[in-house]
Amino acid sequence: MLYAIFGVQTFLQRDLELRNLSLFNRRKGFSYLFQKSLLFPFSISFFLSQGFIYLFLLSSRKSSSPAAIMSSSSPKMITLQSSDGETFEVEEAVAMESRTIKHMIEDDCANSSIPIPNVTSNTLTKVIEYCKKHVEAKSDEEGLKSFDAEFMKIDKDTLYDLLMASNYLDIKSLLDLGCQTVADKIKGKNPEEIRKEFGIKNDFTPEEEEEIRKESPWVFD
Amino acid sequence: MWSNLPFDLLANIFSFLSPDSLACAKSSCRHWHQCARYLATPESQRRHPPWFIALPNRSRGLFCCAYNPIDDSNSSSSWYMLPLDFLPIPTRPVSATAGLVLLRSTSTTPFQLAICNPFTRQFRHLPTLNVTRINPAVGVIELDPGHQFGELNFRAYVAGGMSEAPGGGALYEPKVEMYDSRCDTWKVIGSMPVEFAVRLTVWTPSESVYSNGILYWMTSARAYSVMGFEIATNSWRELSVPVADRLEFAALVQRNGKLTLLGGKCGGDACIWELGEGDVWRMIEKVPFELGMRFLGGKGCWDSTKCVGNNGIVCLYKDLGSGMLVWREVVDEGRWEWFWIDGCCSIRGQQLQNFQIKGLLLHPNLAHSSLLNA
Repeated sequence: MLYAIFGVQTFLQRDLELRNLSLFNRRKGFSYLFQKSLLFPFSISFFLSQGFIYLFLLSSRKSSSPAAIMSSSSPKMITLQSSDGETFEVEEAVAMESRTIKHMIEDDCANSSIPIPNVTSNTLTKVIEYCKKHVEAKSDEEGLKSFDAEFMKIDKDTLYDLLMASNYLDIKSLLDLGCQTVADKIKGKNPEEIRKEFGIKNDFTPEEEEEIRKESPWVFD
Repeated sequence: MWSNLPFDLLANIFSFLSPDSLACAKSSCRHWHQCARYLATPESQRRHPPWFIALPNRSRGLFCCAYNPIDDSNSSSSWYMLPLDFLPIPTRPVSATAGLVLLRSTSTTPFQLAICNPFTRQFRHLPTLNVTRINPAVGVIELDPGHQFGELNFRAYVAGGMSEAPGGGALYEPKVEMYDSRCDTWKVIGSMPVEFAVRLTVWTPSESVYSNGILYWMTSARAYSVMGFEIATNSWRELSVPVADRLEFAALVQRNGKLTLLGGKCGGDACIWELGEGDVWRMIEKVPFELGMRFLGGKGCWDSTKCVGNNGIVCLYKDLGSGMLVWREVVDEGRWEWFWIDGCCSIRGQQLQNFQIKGLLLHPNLAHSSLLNA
C-alpha cells in the first residue's frame, strides 16, 4: 500500500517537473504563472493528504482489535487479582460497584489486572457474587432483599472478612448490609453476652469496670 | 479480631444500634468503649426514633425515666431509670435540644439556665444573662450540626420576665437576649412590646416551639392565644387559637416543619389543627374517641394534659403512672397512626411512685462532649 502511494507520488512529481520545464521553455506570461501557481499548491495538498492517509492507516492498524469493532455487543472485562494470586474476570459494570476500583479505572491505572492485596480469593468470590447480583437485578427490590438475607447467612469469620473487604473496596451497600448484620447480633445482649458472641476479651481493670457501670447505670440492672 | 475493628467501621456498626444496645456494646471492651465515647454519628439519629424522657417537674428529682420506643431486649419493660444525682443544683426542665436537656435553676433567684445530658451524666451552667430577671419565657432552636465533633449546636432566647426597675420596684423586662452555644455568650438582640412582655412573664407555662423561622409560645391569658417572635426580623406578633374559649387544654408542637396545635375541648373531644398560609388554622385530625376516653380515665376533663412533639411524633401525657397517647408517622408510608403506651409503675421490678413529669423527646446521645465539662 505504502509503496503504491510512494510510486504514485514520484510519478506525479516527475510529471510536474516535466510540465514545469515545458512551461518554462514554452512561454512566460500570465497563463504560465497561473498554471504554475495552481500546480504548486495542488501538489503540496496532494502530498499532505498522502501523509494523512498513511498516518490514519498506521493508527487504525495499531488499535484494531475484535473488541473495538464489536464494542456495542460485548462488555469490557476487568481482571481482579486476590491476595493469594487468583484472578477473576468481571464485567466493568460489576467491578465499578466498588468505588475504589471505579477510581482506579477512571484514573487509567487499570490496564492489565487490578491487584486487591487485602482480600483473599474466597472473600473476593463472595464480593463479586454480591456485586453481580446487584447489577443484574437492580430494579427488583424484593428479589434483592431476599438475596441479601440469604447472602448474610454466613459464619462470623466470613462476615468479618466481608466487612473488611467492602470497607477497603468502598462498596457502600455491602458495607451497610454487613454493619446492620453485626448490629443485629449485638442487639438485645448484655455486655458479657456480646463478648461471648464476638470472642472479645474483657480488658477493663476492675476499677474501670466500676466506672463503666456508673456511666450507664440504666442498662446494668 | 472483632475487638480491633477500625474506628470508622465500628462507628458505622454502632450507628445501627439503638441507644440501649449501644450502651451495652460500649461496655464490652476498651476499643469499643473508646469508639462509642468519642464518635457520634448523625446517621444514628436518622435511623432511630427519639426517646420520651419523663423528668420530674419539681426541683430535686433523683431520677428520670426514659421510654424506648423500640424494644430489642427481652425485658418486659421499655422504661429505663436514669439517675439525676449528677445535677449539682435543684433544677426544672425547660426543653430538649441537640441531644441535651435545658434546665432552669430553681435555687437561685436571678434566672439561670444549664444544660445536661442524662445519658453521659454531664452537666454545665450556661453563662449569666446580661439583664438579670426572674421568670422569663425561654425559646430554643437547634442549629445544623457543625463540622467539629463535639460542638454544641443550639441557640436559646430569653424574653420577658421581671427585672429591677432603676428606682426600685419591678418592671416587665422588654429586652430579648440570645445565647449562641458556639460563642458561649449571651447577647441582647432587641426589645419587645411591653404588653407582650407582660404576657410572656405571667401566662406562659410551657416552652416554645420553633417553626419556619418563628418562635411560638402558647399563652393562656383568659382564652388561649399564641405569641410569635420572628427571629430574622426581630418582630413580635399574636395569633388566635381556634375555639380558644372552649379549650381546656392547648399545646403547640412542631410537626415536620408545620406548626401544629392540639386542643382538648370540654366534653371530651380533642382536635389537631395545622397552621397554614396566611396564619389560618386548619383542622387535620381528631383524637380517636376510645383512645381519648381511655386517656382521660373517665374524668372527661383535659385539664392536666400536657403535650410534646417533634417532627414525626406527638405525645399526649399527664403524669408518670398514667398512660400516654402517641400519634406517630409511619416511616416511608406518609400516614400517621395512634398508639397507646402504658404508664410506668415499675421499672425492672422496682415499684415507682407516681409523680408529675415534664416530657421531652430526645435522641439519646451516648458520646461524651468535652464542652460539657463544667
